[in-house]
Parts: sequence; C-alpha cells; structure tokens
Amino acid sequence: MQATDIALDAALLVMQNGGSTAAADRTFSNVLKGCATHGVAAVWRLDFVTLRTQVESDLSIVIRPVGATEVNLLRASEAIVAAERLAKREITAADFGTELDRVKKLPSPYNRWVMIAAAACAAGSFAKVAGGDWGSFGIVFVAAAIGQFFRSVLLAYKVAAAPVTLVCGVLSAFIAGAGLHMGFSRVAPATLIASVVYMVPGLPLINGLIDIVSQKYLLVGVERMLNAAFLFLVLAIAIALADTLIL
Amino acid sequence: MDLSGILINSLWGGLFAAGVAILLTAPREYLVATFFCGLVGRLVRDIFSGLGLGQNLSIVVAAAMVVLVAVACIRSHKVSPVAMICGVLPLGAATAMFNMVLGLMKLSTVSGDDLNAASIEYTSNLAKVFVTTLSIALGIGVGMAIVRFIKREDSVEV
Repeated sequence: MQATDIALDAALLVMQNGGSTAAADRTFSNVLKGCATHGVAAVWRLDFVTLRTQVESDLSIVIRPVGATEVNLLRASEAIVAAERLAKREITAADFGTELDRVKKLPSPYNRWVMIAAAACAAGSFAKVAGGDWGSFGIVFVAAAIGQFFRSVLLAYKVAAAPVTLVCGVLSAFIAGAGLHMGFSRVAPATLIASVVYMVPGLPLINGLIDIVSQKYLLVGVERMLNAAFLFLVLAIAIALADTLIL
Repeated sequence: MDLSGILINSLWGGLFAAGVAILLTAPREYLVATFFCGLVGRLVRDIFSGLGLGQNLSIVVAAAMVVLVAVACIRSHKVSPVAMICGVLPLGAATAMFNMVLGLMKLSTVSGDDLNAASIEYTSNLAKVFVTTLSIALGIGVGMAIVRFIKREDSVEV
C-alpha cells in the first residue's frame, strides 16, 4: 500500500467519524511526514477528496469519496494521535497500518442506555438553564429519553440524519406538548425547545466553525453550517407542529 | 445579585455541556473538563451580567474563560474543540436560534398588525442570534490569544 493511500485512509477515518476538515488534513500531512513522502497536495470537500501527486515528471490525480459518516469522536481522536506518533517516528508505517485497523474497529465509548441518560439529562438541564420549572424538567427528561431511544434504533437501521431528526423531533415535541397540555408545567417555550435540544446539530456547527476559522476550508465549513441550519429548521418544524396540533 | 441562583444555574449549564459531550461521543477524559467549561462559562456570564457589564460583553468574557478552563483541564498543546464548544453552548444562542426559526415560519401565516409584531419579534431574535454568536466567537478568539501569549508558542491549535 502506498503512503498516500495510508494517509488518505487515516484522514478519511477522521472525517467519517466526526472530525473537522482541519483535523483530517493535519492527520494526512502527519502520515505523509512519517512516511517521508513529499509532493502531494489535497483538496477537501465534504463528499470527496482530490489528491494531486507529482513524482518528477509523473503527475497523477486521485479522487476518493468520503463515504458514509457517523459520530465516533473516539475513533477520530485515536486516528489523529496515531498519525502524530508516526510523524514523530515513535511508530513505524507498518505499526501505523495495524493501529489504523484497530481504530476502525473501536466501538462508541458509550452504549445506548448511557446515550439515552445523557440526552435526558442534557434536555432537562437545558430546560432549567432556559428558565423552566421542575415540571418542564420532568417533561423534557421523559421526552428526550424516548426520542433518543427511537433515534438510536433508527440510526442502527442506517436511516439518514434529516428523517431521523424529523421523526424523533416530532415525537419528543409531541410528548412535551402533551405534558404541557396536561398542566405539568406552564413554561411552554423552554419546555418545547428543551425537548428537542439533544438533537441540536452540534458536530456540524463545531466542525463548520473550525473549518471557517481556519480559512483553508471555507467552502466545506459553509457546507457544514448550512447542513446544521437545515437540521435546526427540521427541529423547529417539529416544535411548530406540536405547538399547533397539541397546545 | 442572587449568587445561589447563579450557582445553581451554572451547575445546570455544566450538566448540559457534559450531556451534549456524551451525545457527541467525546472521549471520557474530556467529560469533566466539559462540565467545568459549561459551569464556568455560565457562572462568569451571569456574574458579569449581574455586575452590569452588559449581556454581550459578559458572553465575550465567559467564552474566553471557557477556553482558559479547557486548556487548564486538558493538559495538551491542543484545545479540545468538543470541550470548548460544549462549554459555550449554555451561553445562550440556542433558544434565540429556535425562536428565530419559529418566528420565520410564523411570518408566512399572519397578516396585518400580527405581521408587524411577528416581524419585530423575528428581527429581534435574528439580532440576538447574530450578536450572541459573534460574542462567543470573539470570546473564543480572545481566549486562544491569551493562551498563546501565556504559553509563548504558536502550537496551540483547535
């Protein structure tokens, strides 16, 4: 396997698991540095990467799709660290290949039930921060827990992000609306918004901001931000539906 | 200034930040740092607001503090973006963002005086989102500059 292929594998692993473009590019450069390979330039997009390699008079261009993405920052983080170790010559290129295979098989650090508990706690805490009472805390705790459970089930079936966000957003917002309708709380805006806050597109926002700030990946950053804005719109539609149909 | 109220609110902010970090599958070693980032960010914002500094300036100071806390808690030359961004989330753009999008949908269904009121509400929320986001970004920039100055090196990265 060529050094550019290994470097691209590592960089794509970072991107596919929720890393920023800046982190993917840094990983790519570190692997090339560790393999003492020069004369390679990469152009990054959200859906594909283009490599331009020049060895003496031979010029080659490789286009590789990024492929399906998921969220596992542990994998992204481990791939970045392994590339740094290769760049510092703490491991060899062969060891790096083995390490990359290990990283690819790493499961999410949190199981389904921890994620459900985290979603419930995050939503409840947000309700309190946004001025909700204990009634709204209880409503959104339940709404977010049920929503996150269905979200994890749908994601296991590889359903795309937007439909998952809409279905789970509607479900959580409707449960929150029902709780408000039954009089458990009178703080409607904080309760409705907090019920879907566990699906706020955090990673596209984080990565979009990092990409835009780094200036080298402005287009990818804008693309990520637009994706986040679209998911915000989907969540707002879910809240509006609950507000109109239940309250 | 209600200090106990501010402290309780800050604890909720920290819990929210840590919860979001788990949802984003942040590595376990960053969770405590993220909790403290969320707590300190909200605490600083509320205290400075209470002292009359102004909402947006308080957010700038709070976001800068979040970066400093992230650097202090995570002993690495790189600032974890997850800890930092989850830490600034409780500073308050999310509610205004949702209100803005909801207001946008409301604009298409109302008319007359209701349309005027909805337009004003939408503009107000739009301004809040813009200025709050800008304040957070400025605060993060200031925080990173302080860290670079203290460490006297250019290797601090996000």
